[in-house]
Amino acid sequence: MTAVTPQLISATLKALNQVVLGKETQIRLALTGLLAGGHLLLEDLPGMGKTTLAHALAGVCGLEYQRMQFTSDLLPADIIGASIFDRQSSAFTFHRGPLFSQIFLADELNRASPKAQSALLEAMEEQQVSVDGKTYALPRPFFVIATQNPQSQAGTFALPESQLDRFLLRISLGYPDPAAERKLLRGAEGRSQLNGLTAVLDQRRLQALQSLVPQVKLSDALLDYVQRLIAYTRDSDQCATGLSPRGAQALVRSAQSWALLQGRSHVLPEDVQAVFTAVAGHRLSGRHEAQGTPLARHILSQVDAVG
Amino acid sequence: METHAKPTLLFRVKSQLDQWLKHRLPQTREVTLRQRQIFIVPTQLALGMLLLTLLLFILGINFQNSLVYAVCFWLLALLVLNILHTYRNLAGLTLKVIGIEPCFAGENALLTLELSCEADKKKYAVQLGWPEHDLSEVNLAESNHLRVQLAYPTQRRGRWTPPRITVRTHYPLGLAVAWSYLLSDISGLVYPKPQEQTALQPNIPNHSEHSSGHEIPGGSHDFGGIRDYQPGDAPRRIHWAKYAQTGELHSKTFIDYSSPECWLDWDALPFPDAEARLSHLCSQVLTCHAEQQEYGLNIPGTRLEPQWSEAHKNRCLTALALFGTLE
Amino acid sequence: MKTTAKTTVNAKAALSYSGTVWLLVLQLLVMLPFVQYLPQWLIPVLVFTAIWRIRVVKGYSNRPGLRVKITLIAIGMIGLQFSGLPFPSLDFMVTILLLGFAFKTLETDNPRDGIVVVFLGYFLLAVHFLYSQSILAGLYGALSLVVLTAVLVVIQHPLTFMHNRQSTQHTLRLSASMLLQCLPLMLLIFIVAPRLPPLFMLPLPSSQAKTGISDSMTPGDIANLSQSDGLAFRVTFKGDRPPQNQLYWRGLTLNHFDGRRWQQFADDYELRQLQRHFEQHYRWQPNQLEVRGTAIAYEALYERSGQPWLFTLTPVSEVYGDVLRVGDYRVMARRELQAPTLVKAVSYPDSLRDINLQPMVRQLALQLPPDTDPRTRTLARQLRADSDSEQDFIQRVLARYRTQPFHYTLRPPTLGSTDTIDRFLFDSQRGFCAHYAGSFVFMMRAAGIPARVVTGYQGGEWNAAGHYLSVHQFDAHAWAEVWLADSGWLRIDPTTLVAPDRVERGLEAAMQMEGSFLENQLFTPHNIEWLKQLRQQIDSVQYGWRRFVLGYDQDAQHNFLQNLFGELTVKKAVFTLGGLLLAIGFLWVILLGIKPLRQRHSPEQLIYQRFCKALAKQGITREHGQAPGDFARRAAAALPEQASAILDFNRSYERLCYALDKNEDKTALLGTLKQQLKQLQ
Repeated sequence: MTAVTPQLISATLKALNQVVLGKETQIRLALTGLLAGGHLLLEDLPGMGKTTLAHALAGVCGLEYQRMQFTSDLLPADIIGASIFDRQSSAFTFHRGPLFSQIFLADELNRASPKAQSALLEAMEEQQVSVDGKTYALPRPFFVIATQNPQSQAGTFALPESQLDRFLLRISLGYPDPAAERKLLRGAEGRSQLNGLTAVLDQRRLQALQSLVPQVKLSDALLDYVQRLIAYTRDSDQCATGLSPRGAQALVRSAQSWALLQGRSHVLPEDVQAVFTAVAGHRLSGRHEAQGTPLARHILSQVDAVG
Repeated sequence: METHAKPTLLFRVKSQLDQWLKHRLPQTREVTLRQRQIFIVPTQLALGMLLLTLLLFILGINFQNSLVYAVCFWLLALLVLNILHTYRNLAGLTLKVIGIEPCFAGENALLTLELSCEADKKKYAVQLGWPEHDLSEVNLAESNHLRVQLAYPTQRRGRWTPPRITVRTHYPLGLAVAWSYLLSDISGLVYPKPQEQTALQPNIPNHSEHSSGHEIPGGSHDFGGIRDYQPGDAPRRIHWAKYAQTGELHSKTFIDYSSPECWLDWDALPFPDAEARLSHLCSQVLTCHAEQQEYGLNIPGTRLEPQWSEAHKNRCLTALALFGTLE
Repeated sequence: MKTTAKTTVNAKAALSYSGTVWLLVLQLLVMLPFVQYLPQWLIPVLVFTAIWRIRVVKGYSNRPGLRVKITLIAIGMIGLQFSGLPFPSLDFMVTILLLGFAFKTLETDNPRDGIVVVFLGYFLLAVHFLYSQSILAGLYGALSLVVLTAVLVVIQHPLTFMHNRQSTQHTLRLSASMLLQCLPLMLLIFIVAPRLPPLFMLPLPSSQAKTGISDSMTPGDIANLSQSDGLAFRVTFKGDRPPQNQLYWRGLTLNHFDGRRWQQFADDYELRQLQRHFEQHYRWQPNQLEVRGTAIAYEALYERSGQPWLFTLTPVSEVYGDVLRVGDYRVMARRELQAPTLVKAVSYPDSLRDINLQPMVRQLALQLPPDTDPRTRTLARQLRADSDSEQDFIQRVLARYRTQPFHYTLRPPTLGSTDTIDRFLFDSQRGFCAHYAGSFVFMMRAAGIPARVVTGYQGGEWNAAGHYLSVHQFDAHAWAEVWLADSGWLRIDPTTLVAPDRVERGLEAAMQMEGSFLENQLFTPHNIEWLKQLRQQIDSVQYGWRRFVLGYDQDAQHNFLQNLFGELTVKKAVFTLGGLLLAIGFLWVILLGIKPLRQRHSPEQLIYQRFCKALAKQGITREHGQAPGDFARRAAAALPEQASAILDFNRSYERLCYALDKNEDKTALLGTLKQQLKQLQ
């Protein structure tokens, strides 16, 4: 880690916090996901600042940004783009869809039909798009922020579990605390600041930071803890399904990234705990009443962090 | 009065013993058997062996035969040493309760246990379970990790706490038995027994009638209205006609209808008996789930919104299992 | 469900196939050595039942019904009848036991039956030692013990247990190691357990028929004995070995001659009667002995002979052991020797015996059958008349053996049934010790000099490897004792005059010309030097086995313990025994790897546990899922005055657990951690 890194990180966080008020943890998590090179799922009611956060992230990182509203009649081509016949050249040319951007905000993902959803998710996984037999690489970095209404809302197509797994983290923003909300109501800061946002990072710096993530040290004691957590999810009667190996990898990678954001060169159990809910929340399904986030919290309380 | 005093005394002794055991063996999910937890006594067979050595001793005396003495004493020493071997065969064994599969009343509840030990301390012929119901015998030799399922017949719905699990071994010579108990704080669910003949079908409504359904905004079937354009709206949704008129972008919205809800309702059942109602509701939940029909459950104290998923089924069955209990 | 390998335990579970095979092997192993002693048809019976059993287990045959069982038992009983075993004998009982053992095969269905078979096997294994206690038998017994114990292990295995070569090896190794681990305790009990005298008499195995010198002598007896290289006893001298020609191992005196046979008394007494007779009329009287010369101290270990006779150098002044001393200076056991018996004695061969001859003894020593052997009587009277003194007479009689053409042979001609002495002295003049001793005593008595035949052994083979003397059956000998007024009983061996080699160099040398030494044995290794040495080495080992293992009886135990601990007090005994038992227990715990099991934690975890404990004392307990950092911050906030110590400790701990590389040295940091913990405590 170079000497500039901590300053860079704190500057980035500071810039983001000025735009999205009272959401420090969520911002940190979002940035964690970004540094870890994973996609983000924001699950919350409309109007909680999901778009703002996505926008701010793009702005601070100096990345190009596109937003798309998902509806039930959305077709894959609407997202990816389509080949259109060009009369002048008498040939089909590929018109890139909104997906071809560095940060892509998929709003209300679970309103789209499974067909449209899977088109997006496949692109997320493979970092490329194939149309008419031709492959188009997506820009780097490629970061998808999808928002989703709570499952219970009617008229939604729930994302299949296998596809939820492709999101590194799931974050719910929640209501802001009273102080932040008051500021918001004053309108002094927040969304209005978006336009004045300066890019703290650029593409090169972002990639440099990303390359630091795998270098954060994982000690045996820490991996023991991670394995205890995973074993618990697999064994406990609270969970219908345990954490997959991919989920476990995501947990470790996120913890590394989180530790990096804390300015540390090694991972501590508290780093794992900090990201656990976001990583495991959407990957676990409980057998009983406790689902998702409460379930993840329950697991954290049951597994010894030491020893 | 003595006839009366006897059972109470026995009962008191037994409960004292249980108390002591509880103190000595705290309720846990996972236990590694050590000196403190392992009890060991000679078996009937050891008595036989003792008689045999006595017989040999007499033989040795009468024939003044040193080698007969030697055999006698060797067996005696074996009797003593075997106690340590039997102890060793249990010591260091780790038992972990993994969980209990929920089951329906009258079925066997399946408790999953995981056994493990250090690789160099193999365990043979370890029996575990409930001696009067299901006693399994396992070896931990090739692998030092093993899962075992134990079956216990259940009778009533509700939360089932398994009685203490016995783990014991007679290995290697059967002259001593070492045992311990696993008192687990885990509990499993026993769902009500589903009613056999489902004479009362849940009122699954007719799909063709939209009128009784409810609207889902953001659908794609029926036109719902017009609103201002928002970034990200699909181009196909833009009300071009209006754009031509006003020059402002508007988007069309559509509405879907979902099929009407199916409610499994406590009050709709014509039974006076709560258990019979639960039993019926249970079988209805299973039927609805099998037919992939969204359903809600309404019983006194609990109301679960209509939905169809594995988790929802579990929630419904859990609610039925725990109806009327303190939880 | 991921993996489940279990067997449901059933109380009435069947015995597994391999368990059955193991049991059959065990039965064969146990029964096999009995073949030498007991009816041999027992093995076919076992093979038959074993085949049936295997067929039943494999499903080819049905289990035998009641009728079949009764038939089999009947056949067994008939077989027993035809074996000609006497009814109330050990052989009979053991045969019945073995028969039952073989038949049990058919009924061995469940583990419980299997255990009964194993226990019965243990018992029979011990019973075999009543027949043979040799080293080989001992080793075979130990081997069988390993297999029997292994079968107990096999029976404990669950039915689903995979029996293969590897598991067989494992089981045998377990059984052998368990028995080896038992050894210290077994030896301790063996050494200290009280040895009691027999509670009641039991019949002996028939193969243990009486061997060695009997209580009467016809010339043929000793000739037969000289064909046996069986061991009679072994002797260790304390001090120098006496010269070979002084080694007259005296057993019995034979006073009564009926014309053909020499025996102790006119009546045939049973052992009890004999003992009573000795106690009442012929008791050992120490004042009759006038001790002279140098002492010879020795320990003799007598082989099991089934007879009460002991052989010592005479006269014995001191003797230790359960023995009876008789007025004719013999020492005999109070019971027939059923096991190797050790006797310690001190003898003074030059002492004078019976200066005052009691009338009863004189009468016994002058007895002759009426009207036999007239020629001998005449010769004796004539020679006596010619002699100046009794000594002179004796010399004249002995001179006659030397001058006349007497010949020493183990193959003498038959002497008919009457006047045997006459025929020997005047006609055949060929014979061996019994003939010479008998005829000499006859002539003494005919001349009025008290005399008696003595039987025993002469000489012995010196085992240079073990420094002891082995006396074999072929060393059996007979000689004479005469009583003279001023010197008491004198030993006279007329055989030496005929065959000096017999006494100087042993029977083998004496018979070199004739070639009749052990002529009935096909292989006689006695004349090959290196084989002889090898034989002596083996014999030496066997002697040790006999002396220290088989001969470990009440006296030996007493001596051994006294040598070891001096005078035994209760306190000493309790402490020594307790200490030894503790040591054995400790040894076992180490051998078995039973440690007081502690949770295996790394040092930093142990320190961290102490840290948590220290904070818990101040009311701050770590929740199960709480990360160290969170806990430390919470504790620091709650205990502001210790905040920096807590946070420092936590920093070190986190560094130790999470920041160090695998190969980095932890010791320095561990030291720091301990220091920081101390500050907190």
